[in-house]
Parts: sequence; C-alpha cells; structure tokens
Amino acid sequence: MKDIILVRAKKESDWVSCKSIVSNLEAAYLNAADVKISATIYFDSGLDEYDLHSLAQKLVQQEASELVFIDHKPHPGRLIAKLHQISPKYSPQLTFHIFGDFVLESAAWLELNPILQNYPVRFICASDKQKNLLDSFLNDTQVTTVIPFPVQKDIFYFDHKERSQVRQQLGLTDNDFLFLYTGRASLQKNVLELTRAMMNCASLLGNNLYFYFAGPFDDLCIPYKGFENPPGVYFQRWMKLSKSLDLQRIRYINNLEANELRRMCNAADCFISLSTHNDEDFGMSPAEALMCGLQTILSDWGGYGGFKKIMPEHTQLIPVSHQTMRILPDLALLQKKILMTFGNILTNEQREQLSRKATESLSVESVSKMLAKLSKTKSLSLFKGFNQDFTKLGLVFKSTPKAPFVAGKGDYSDYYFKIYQPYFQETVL
Amino acid sequence: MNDLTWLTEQSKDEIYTFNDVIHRASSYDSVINFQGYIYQHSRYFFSPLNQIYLYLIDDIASLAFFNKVFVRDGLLTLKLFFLRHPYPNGLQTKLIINSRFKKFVPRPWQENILFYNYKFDGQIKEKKKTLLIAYHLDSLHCPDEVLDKALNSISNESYDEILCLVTGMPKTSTIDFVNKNIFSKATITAKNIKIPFRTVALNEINPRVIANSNFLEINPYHFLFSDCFLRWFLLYNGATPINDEWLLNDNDAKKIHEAMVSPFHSVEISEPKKFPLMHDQMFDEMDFFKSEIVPSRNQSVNLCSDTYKRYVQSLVHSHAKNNQ
Repeated sequence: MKDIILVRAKKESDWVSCKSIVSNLEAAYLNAADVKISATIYFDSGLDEYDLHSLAQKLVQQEASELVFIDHKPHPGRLIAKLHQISPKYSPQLTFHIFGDFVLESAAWLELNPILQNYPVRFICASDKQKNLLDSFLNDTQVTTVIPFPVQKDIFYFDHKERSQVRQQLGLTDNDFLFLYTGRASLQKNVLELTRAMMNCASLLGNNLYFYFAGPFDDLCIPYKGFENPPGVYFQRWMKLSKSLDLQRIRYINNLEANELRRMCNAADCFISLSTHNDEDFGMSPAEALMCGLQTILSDWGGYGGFKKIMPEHTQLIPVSHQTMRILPDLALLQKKILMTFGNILTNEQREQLSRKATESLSVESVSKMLAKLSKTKSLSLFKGFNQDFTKLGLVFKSTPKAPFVAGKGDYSDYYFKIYQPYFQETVL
Repeated sequence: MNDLTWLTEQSKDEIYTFNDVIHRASSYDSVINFQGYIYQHSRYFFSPLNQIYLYLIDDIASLAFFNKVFVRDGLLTLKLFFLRHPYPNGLQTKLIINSRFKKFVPRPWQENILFYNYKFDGQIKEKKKTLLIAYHLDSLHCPDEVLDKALNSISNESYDEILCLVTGMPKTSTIDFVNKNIFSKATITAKNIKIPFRTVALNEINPRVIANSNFLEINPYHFLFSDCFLRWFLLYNGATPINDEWLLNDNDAKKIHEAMVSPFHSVEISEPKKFPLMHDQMFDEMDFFKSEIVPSRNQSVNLCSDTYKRYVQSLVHSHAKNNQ
C-alpha cells in the first residue's frame, strides 16, 4: 500500500469552486480504500526560505512514497525545488491534480521541468479536453489520467419535497419552466448573452418561461488579451440590460450558499451555462446541478463536454466558435435548444434517476473509488518532461504575462487557437 | 416629465473622454501623496455616473466634457475645490455631491449641484457570522472617541470573529502587509472585546467571508472621502451594514433618479429644493491662498498636512456655529 502525503494550502482559494474542490478532493483521498494518507501538509504562498526549508525537511523525514498536490495555489514549484535541493536522492511519485490555471502557470511549470524529470510524475485532469490540452505539451502522454473533481452528495441531491416547497415560495406553478444558471456572472461566462437569449425565447413562449441566475458578479474581462475592466462594470452592464426585462421572470437571485444553491437546483427544470471561460477545465456548477437531477444545456467548451458522457440523454451541448473578437456559443442554436427544452419537465422519478447516475460518477465516494483504483496501477518511470511546444508557451507567458494571446486590433492570436484547440473540438461520444 | 437621459445614461462621448480625464489626473506630488493616503477608499470602480475625485482635477475645463460627475470627495477636498474655483465660469456640468455637504456649497455653484444619498436595499442589522470593521486611522477623519464609542457598541455582540480593515498608511505599506503600529493600536482598542479580533488587508478576505459578514464603517464626518471603495466593495460582495449613519434621508430635496451601484445598494440623486443660508464670508477667503498653507492658487495644497486639515475643520466648525 502506498504511503501518501496530501499537499494543500491552508488559505482557502478565492475561487469558490476551487475551495470546494480542494476540500472534496481531500475527503475523497481520506475515504479511498487501500490508500494510506499519512498526513496533510499545508503549503502556502509567502513562506520565507526558513519555513520552506523546514517544510521540505519534514517531507523528507516522513519518506512518503507519493506526494499528492490537491490545490491550485501556490504553484508547487518552490516546494519541489527545495525538496530536490535538500535531498536529491529522495524521489517520491509526484501527483498533481490539474486545475484550470495550468496554462496560466505555464512559465512556472516550465521552470520546474528539469527538476520534475528526477521524479515519477502523474497529472490528474478533471476532464478529457483538459487531458488533451495537457497531452499536447508532454513527451509521454501515459502520465495523464482523467478523474473528475468530486461533489458532496450530502449537499447536492434531488429532493422532490424541497422542489415543491421552493417552487411554491417562488410562486411557480406546475406549468412554469425554470432555467437556472449558477456561477460567476462575468464576461467569459456569457451571462448577459444568455439573458438576452432567454429574453427572446420568453417573448416567443409566453409567461411560463423563467430564468434565474445566482452567483457573484465578477469583472474579470479577457486577461489573456490584456483586457481588464474596473470593478463594477459587469454589474452595471446587467443593470442596463435589466431595464428591458420582465424582472419577475428573468431575475438575479444573489450569490447563494451551497444549501441555497441545492434548493434552487431542486426547484429548477434545466441548468444552463454558456461559459467560454479560458480556464473552464471542468465545471463544478453543472456537476452540482447534475447531482440534483437537472437536465442541462451547456456550451461545448473545455470540461463541459465531459458531462455529455455522463448524461448523454439529458445534456445538450452548444458548439462554440470565434466570433467578433470573442469566443461564443452558437446563439441561434441555443435559442432552438431552449425552445425545444421548454416544457420538458422531468418527473420526480426521472430526476431521482438522473441524480443517482450523476452521483455514481461525480460524488466524493465515486472519486474515492477511482483514486483507489489508480493507486493500484503499476509504478511510473521518471517524468520525460514537457515538449518544445510547452517551452514556447512558457516563454510566451514569461515574456508577455499580461497579454499572452493578443493579436493585432485586440483579437485573439493564432497561437491561442493552437493552444486551446482541444477546448474547441466538438465532443463526440 | 423632464428627460433625464443626460443623468441616467453615459453618453458615448462621456465614456470615451472619461478614461482620458481620470488618467490625466493631477501630477502634483501632494495630490499623489494624498491619493496614496486614502488609496483603499479612493480606488476606482465603475459607475455610469462618471464618478471622480475633484482634487485630481487641475483644470475645471476638463469637467465640461460631462453632463454630470459624481463627486467622491470628502469635505476636505470638496472645500478645496470650491476655494480654488469660487465660480463655475459657465461650466454646465452638474456636480452630484453628498447631500450632507449642502451647507458648504458656495452660492455661485448652487445651480450646478445635485445631491446624492445612499440607500441599502437589504435588511440592515441582519445578523451574520463575522463583523468587519473599517476605519481610517486619522484623528481628524476618525477621532479616537468615535472609534472607542463604536467599539464599545459592539462589545456585547456575539460574532465568531472580528476582522479589522484599518487604513491610513501610505499604500505601499498596506496593500499586502499589516503595519505593526496599526496592529498594536487595533489590539489595544480591542481589549474590551471578547470576540477573536484581527487586522487584515482587504485582499486577504475571501469574498465568501464578506458575504457572511456584517460591517461597521467608522466615517462620522466624511472628512477625507465620501464615496468609498471599501464600503462599495463590501456591499458589492454581500456584506450587511450594522450602522446606518452613511444612509441619510434628505427631505429638502426632490428625488429624480435612483442608480443601483451594487446588487444591494443604490444612490438616490435629488435636486435641491433649497440650500441652507450661507455664511458667505466663509467663501470669500482669497486670503486663504495668500497664507502659508496654500502659497498660490496654482500650486497644490499639502492635503495630508495636519495644518490644512485643521484649517478646513475649523471652517466646518465655525460654519456649523454660524448656522445654529
């Protein structure tokens, strides 16, 4: 049995999804059968050299056979470099759960490349498309594997009583159809585009269509092109759009806690997200919605495509493409999908069944089983390193970190499309 | 009904020129120092009302681009603006100022003035887990007795934790680090409070924690700043205020527009029905510019100097006395 040390930051991530991912991953490892977790150690940014040295020394003394990095920040480079410096002969397997910021951190990974080649290394991606992206940078793709980020089934589940209760509170009748988006409200999540599509559909379909969205407003613009927005912009854009809306039917319902999110998911009839965010490696919001037995309409971008494999009959994907300086889903097709889905209210039994199926693939317990199975695979050989394409990517980020993928007139560079080609690829079952 | 598009919408010209104007802000050292001094409060956030600090403007002609500007200044720099520019000289722009400053508007400027008040849409005093306390360590802006009174008022409250956002040091030393002097001050003042208490920087607080927090802003006189980034950021992320001093209901003005500035609060803009009687002498202070405090109108005032701050404060007090 392998002796594993988990490494994570003590300070929780500012990204809400990453915060739950890290604690859920930790729980999944602790629950995994035949996996011995000897310790969880905390590695935070801002450690001085003395603390870093002490931490690395502690790791060497424990002599675990595997170190598993379950957090996305800080980048593990400093700790691994120090570990190698003080004990070059100690070479445990290094396992990294890869988050959406892998490309963003490419300069740090490139710097670590020569040191990593002294260790057996495994990268665990949360989706097939992210694995494809990562594989395009590796000399040996045998070291990547896909295990989804886990979701807590005791928080996200279907409950028909709760559904009736919340719908009653919201004043929804049995004929009303509620579309729901949860997550950050930001430019790359295309929330305003989604709202406009809902507005158009509502004018065609009459009074029974509802669309609610929940989550914090986020002014992140397109940092890969160097586009920044001052705080408050996206909210003001929503305010401007909201003047033309029937706010009884299309509503912002604030930033909700996990239990409130579940209640909303239970009340809703379809989860919808058009995100084309450059770091959309998985999709915690759709995963949570699926655990509540919701059918989904999703952009076929990044990790979202993977949900089609879990729920082929109840996940509809909208292809994305490059349009007018943005990466956007096919909005005409989206409206068709909304019109087709409207009215298709699943029965409680169908919802239960969907929820069960999602739980089998996405819950902490399911991920524990996947991790246990993975731990029994044969030992890895030393890491063969990142390839030449990755060297270029790392150097691009090193030289122009504030706008690595900008081309003339503010559009995306051709290099962006090359790097993110796996994210654009249509999901095929 | 009057067409209020000029107020409610940001014209294309305004959007285009606004960035230019705010980026061509005054380059006087004293202005830059003052900007650093109140940095955590004066940080820019977007609003279609063209929000600006007047002390950053060297030439009022640059305001002419805009139908309206939302004035974020506190009394200190608003007063300076009126002293530097006693007359609008044909400027058509409406200055939207905090209605609590109505008694400090010189007569020639009254036609150019609209007022704003804040309105909180949630439930004030709704109890949450954490308390955030925001105050600026400046004895004129936030006198010790006011701070002590505020801290005493919460000494019997039950919170899991109190996080103290203390500002008042040059920005380079407070963006990422807690100044030890501030920390010891905060620790001393917190002695009466049994709740765990620590000093943090804004970027150290997870937005989720903010959403689960009440906040207490100690800004009794709006002296150094009025419209405040810190307050906006906390409200924008869902914190609930426990004091309502910053919410002022002005019955002497006619409400003409309400603009949401976060999902939870808005500003009400109103037209003044009347201005309080002015003690005109107060604005006939050309001698002010001959004094040692301000060598000439074209040179900048050391806004951080206690001398200038005390000067404005004395004007405020004498004015208040004359209007009693």
